[in-house]
Amino acid sequence: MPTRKLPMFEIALVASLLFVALLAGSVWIGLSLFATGYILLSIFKPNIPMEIFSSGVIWGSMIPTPLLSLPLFILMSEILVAAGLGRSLFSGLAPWLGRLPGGLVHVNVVGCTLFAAVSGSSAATTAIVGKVSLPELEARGYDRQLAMGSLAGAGTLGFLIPPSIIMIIYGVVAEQSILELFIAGIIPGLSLAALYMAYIALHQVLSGAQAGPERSAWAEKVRGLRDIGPVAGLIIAIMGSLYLGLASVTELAAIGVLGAVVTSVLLGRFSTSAMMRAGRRAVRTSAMIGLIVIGAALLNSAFGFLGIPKAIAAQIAALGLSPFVLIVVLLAFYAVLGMFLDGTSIIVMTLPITLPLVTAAGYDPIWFGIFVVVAVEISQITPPIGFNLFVIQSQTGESIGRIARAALPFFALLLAFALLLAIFPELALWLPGTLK
Amino acid sequence: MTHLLRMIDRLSRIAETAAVLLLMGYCALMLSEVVARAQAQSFSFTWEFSQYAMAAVFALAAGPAIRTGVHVRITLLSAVLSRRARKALDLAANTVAMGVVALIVLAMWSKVGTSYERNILATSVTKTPLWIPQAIVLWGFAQLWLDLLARAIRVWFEEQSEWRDADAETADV
Repeated sequence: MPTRKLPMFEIALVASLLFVALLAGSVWIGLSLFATGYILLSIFKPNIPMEIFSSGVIWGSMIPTPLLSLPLFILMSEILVAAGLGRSLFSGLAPWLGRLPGGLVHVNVVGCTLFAAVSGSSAATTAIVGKVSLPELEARGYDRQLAMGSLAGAGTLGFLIPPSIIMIIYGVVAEQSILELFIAGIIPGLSLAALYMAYIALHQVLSGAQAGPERSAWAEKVRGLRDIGPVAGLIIAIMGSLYLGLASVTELAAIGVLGAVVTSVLLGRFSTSAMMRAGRRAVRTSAMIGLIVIGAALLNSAFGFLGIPKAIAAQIAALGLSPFVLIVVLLAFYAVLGMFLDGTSIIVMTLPITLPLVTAAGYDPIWFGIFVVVAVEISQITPPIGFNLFVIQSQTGESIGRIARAALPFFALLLAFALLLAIFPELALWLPGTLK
Repeated sequence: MTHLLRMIDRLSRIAETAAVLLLMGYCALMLSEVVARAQAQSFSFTWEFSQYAMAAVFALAAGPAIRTGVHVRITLLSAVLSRRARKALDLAANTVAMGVVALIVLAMWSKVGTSYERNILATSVTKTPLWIPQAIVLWGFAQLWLDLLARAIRVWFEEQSEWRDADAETADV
């Protein structure tokens, strides 16, 4: 008996309408993904015993070995936050950065870069650095727009500089080495931070908006080093071990947790209640990501059964796009998608479709991982649901529109950087290449 | 009603505490593996048990994450609605969520039942009966359903339904 061809247009229409309706109805994203997958299979593949099938997908998606590092990195970051890392970063960096053109606004960028190296989240990086830096910058009369914009932009480094939650998710879904992804993110992350700092300095030189440089005595600088020393040591240990391959990513995450505990002891801020608080926050964030991973696993299984990735790939291949145009189209696609979905959901939902397209066009999957992370970073500072904008709104009380306008130069820099990454893939691939 | 809500809150807190202990436990397991490997040895169970603990962390903390508003949702539409319409939409979303979580609970119930009846063991050297870690995951999703129920009741009676700063009273920057 010939197999009946599934109506692709109907499936795509049902899937889109259902998912958009659930999201617009403010159903939690992880559950929306799960419900869409479940209903699609129930309608278009009625012979599948859904209870048995979905239980296999749920259990399988909750135990992948590469995902083990994710809750541990979140715990490490939460322990450091509970130990008052945000305040240490400002007091430690301010004496060193005050003399640069643009003054203490650079604390936003360097602070986010350092915090990103112990945290995998963009929103957390923005929140922790901004909580201390924004009031300090305002009190010292710095340009509020530049302060908010630079924080929104620099906060996105949380995804790019390892350890990165998004990269772990990408590695799990794309079945790529998380270690290589982490190493590949270092140069783009530092380049982007340098680009932001150059813009801040240029802004100051051209506008002359800020008062003169803030000079600090050497005693203050030494005190600053003492504040950031333990964290800097932890970062060097993590990055060094990653690069030298001394431990697996998961083992490194566990060592990172131990390092965070030692750091909080050295800073004199260790307590069991702080540890428990950090643990509670870490498990909740992990559960949030876990629910999205479970939901996306069922939706992607449904897509796979219904042949959707193949059909879309065939449609796009028929357009005959050049590899570079394909990448530009994908950048626009991710930027638009990012206006409505969070980074984890975007990656787990789209990767089964976009990764085969990109690898068929000759791009390296590790490079694409970094590119997708930059694309997701862009979405963090674009309205209506750029997470970094919300974080800054909660800290300043400003309107989303005003914060988005403040972040516009940094949005343009990110966009330009994404294109630069497409033209020069070696920016991401050179460092992991030296590992081999 | 208050009694029921208080009981669900207490159960949620217990599930969360179990998740924290499991997370710290598997961190300790990983550290022990690092130490063992440094002495050219390896425990056979660390990775496997850590995987079970991670699954339990995801499930057990899912309910507490609802209580603290950590799970991601899009509230663009509800932000522009009147108070009554917002409440209706929130209740509808909560009901849909309870339906979806009920499907997850039923699926896991069937998984645990099958693993128990057929005595399915892990393929590793530990031969762990899989129904044990799967039952902990089932407990977590059942707690998520209860937390959604408590949330629905609170939204209905227009009480505070999420505690975004649950740890804020002692939080430092």
